Amino acid sequence: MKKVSQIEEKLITKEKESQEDFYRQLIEAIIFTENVSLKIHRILDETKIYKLLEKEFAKSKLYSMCIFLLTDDCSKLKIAAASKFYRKNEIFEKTFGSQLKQFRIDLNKSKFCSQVVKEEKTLDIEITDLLHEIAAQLQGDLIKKFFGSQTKRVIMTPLYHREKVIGIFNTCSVSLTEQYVPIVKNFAQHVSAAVELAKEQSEHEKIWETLRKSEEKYRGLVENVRKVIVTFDMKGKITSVNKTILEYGFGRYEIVGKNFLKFVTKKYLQKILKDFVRASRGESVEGQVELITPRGIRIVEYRTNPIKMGDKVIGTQAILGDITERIMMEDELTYERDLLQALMDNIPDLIYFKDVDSRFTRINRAEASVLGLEDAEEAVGKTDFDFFTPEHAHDAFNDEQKIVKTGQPLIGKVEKIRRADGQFRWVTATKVPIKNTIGQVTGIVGISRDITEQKNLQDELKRYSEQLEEIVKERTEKLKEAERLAAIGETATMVGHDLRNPLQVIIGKLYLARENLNRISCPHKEKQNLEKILTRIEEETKYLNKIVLDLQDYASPSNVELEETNISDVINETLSSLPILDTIKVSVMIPESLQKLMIDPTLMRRVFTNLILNALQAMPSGGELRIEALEKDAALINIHDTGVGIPKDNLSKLFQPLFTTKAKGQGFGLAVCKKLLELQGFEVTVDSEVGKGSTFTIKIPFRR
Amino acid sequence: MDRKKSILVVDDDKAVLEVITDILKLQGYRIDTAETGHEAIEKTEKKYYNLALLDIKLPDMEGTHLLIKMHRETPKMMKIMITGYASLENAIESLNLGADAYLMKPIEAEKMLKVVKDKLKTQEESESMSEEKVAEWIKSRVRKIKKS
Repeated sequence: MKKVSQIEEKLITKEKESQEDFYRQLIEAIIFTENVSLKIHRILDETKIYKLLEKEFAKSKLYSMCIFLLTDDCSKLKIAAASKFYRKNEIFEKTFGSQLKQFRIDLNKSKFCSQVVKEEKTLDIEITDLLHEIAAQLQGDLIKKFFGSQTKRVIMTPLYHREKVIGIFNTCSVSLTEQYVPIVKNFAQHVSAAVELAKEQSEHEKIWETLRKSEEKYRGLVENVRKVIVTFDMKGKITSVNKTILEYGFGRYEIVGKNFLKFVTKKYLQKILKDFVRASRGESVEGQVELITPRGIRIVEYRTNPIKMGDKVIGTQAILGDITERIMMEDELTYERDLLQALMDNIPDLIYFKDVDSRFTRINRAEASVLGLEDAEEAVGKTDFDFFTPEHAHDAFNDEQKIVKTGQPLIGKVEKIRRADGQFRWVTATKVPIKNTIGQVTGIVGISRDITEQKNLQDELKRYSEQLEEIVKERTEKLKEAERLAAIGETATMVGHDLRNPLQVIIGKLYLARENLNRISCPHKEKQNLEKILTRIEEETKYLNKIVLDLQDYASPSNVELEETNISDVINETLSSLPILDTIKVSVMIPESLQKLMIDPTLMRRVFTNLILNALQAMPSGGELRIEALEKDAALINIHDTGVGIPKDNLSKLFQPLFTTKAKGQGFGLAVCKKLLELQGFEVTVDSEVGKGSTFTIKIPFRR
Repeated sequence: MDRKKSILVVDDDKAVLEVITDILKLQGYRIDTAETGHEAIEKTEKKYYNLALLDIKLPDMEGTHLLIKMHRETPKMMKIMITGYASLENAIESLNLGADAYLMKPIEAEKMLKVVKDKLKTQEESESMSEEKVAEWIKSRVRKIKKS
């Protein structure tokens, strides 16, 4: 150091050096730079290059150097290296902290720097001039100390990277002259080249790093993907598989190197072979296959891609996804759907689904038949208005809209519907809302059950029970009537029997009284009076006898013997036995064809007696008695009078025993008539008008 | 009346018996009465009656039984059945069983007398006819004997 200082002093003090010394120094500089150049060319790291430069220049003691590098925006320069700092770095950093790193030289404020960077000039200037420019930006005089007061000159030359200026190489020395400029320029080129190489190396490394990371990422992807990724060679041998295969219970060693067909179920062998051939031709194939795995048979879905080298297919890659669960779920769903369909199609009830606007979304076969549709699908989108009467459709629509609005079901409403074939049917309709998971009504499902048969049966039953009630009522009445008649009969028998003897005695005594009266002698007038009395008693006795006779007849009528009889004779005989007043006009009109009828003459005589007596009694002040026969589907014999007539209310009771409107009359006459006629199979009816008269009609059927 | 005919009246009702007896007596018939079937049988066994009026209903036996018995024991006696309304069928049956006539209660006196008279006449005729027949038979028998 002392020696160098002395040389420096000599150089400064003696204005001119000897040529030998000058050249020796120049050669030393060249040797120094070449040595450093050799060193830095071995280094492939930019930072390390700078460090080495700092170290070597610091070691030289003759020279110092400093490197400025452009910031990214190329507007400023930062200090990348400085040999003066090499030893003093720690002190420097302690003093300035991180300031040095952040120290920037503004290009716009430094004329020299700007010239080097922008104009690519190499400057040989006084260090003080440069410091003057940039010192203001540095803090205090301390910086000056570092650069030293001995150094006089500084050579500034650009540093390049790919022919672009990236910074400035500065070198200072006490002995620098303009002859050093080419050496410095040359050295700066070496530095540029070394830095460029280092930069490129680091870029390469970066690329490699990226590639490595990307490969790792891809490998991770392949390894961690949920699907099995497997590759085959052209013979079907498995060349690789990712670790997802472990989920199937395989170890990789069990798979790799084996032919994939070993793992395919028999059922799929043929299909899979075909697909493999296609894949080997370079096609992408998709499909499903069953694999035999340690965890049982799994259904997987696959997609293949050819692995190519250039245009040549060298293998196949396949991605497998386990769809066993999905298939099973689908099968279950299919089963459920089939069940529902079977239920829908086979149940005789009408089932339909509708949307919230009452449009059909699905119906079953039974409903389709009611709607007159061949195919249940045809109903989709239609409404009740397309099939039913407007009244019914309207009612149903209102019901359904109410369900949609309130969410409340409609249960068992009895409805009458008209089928497409025109038949009316009774159904019970049940409609319930279909709700989604949040409770909104999304539609309606309805079931209608045909209850026509039940309803008909019910109606019939009701009708029957009503009829039965009527029958029971009728029978009860008949029974009551029969009981009444039986009671009457019993009474009649008893009365008839008990009155028989007293009547016999009275009749006998009357005869004796009359005989006695004829024999005794007494005034003619008194005899006449007595005769009248006897006659009166006789008449009343006869009437009494008739009552008894009627009672007897009613209670136990005689046997019927129908014989061909001339009805006119019977009528005329009857008329002649009855006392008919002159005030009564009698006419009998029987056509020739009706002369002979099958009747019981004895019974008919009694009938005519009663009917004619009735007619006569109805005409106390005279009138017309007309007896005529008409030929219809039966022989009709009318006994017509112009008497008082019978009120309508009494007509139905007329033929009942013990019914009478007469003051004198026990009410057996017409009852006996009816009974005697019915015994012969005949009928009797009556038509009457009060004040005009009555007509009794006997209907005698023709017999063959 | 050439000779008094005897009649037996059978009825359980005394009042009826009395009035019938009175009516028939008035015509000069000799009348006996019986109130039961047994009494009637006893009387006919002891004495011959030209005619009997028999009520069809008696307290101790059916009138028809009495009729059958009398028809067997005393076939020549005229038998007239007296019936009630309810026993018209019995009356007809009686005729089949050998009764000569029937009357229905209450009987008109005139009708009863007529029937009685008619039957007695028939009896007389049949008796005389049988006498004639006997005389005829004897005559023809005599002729046969003479011839032989």
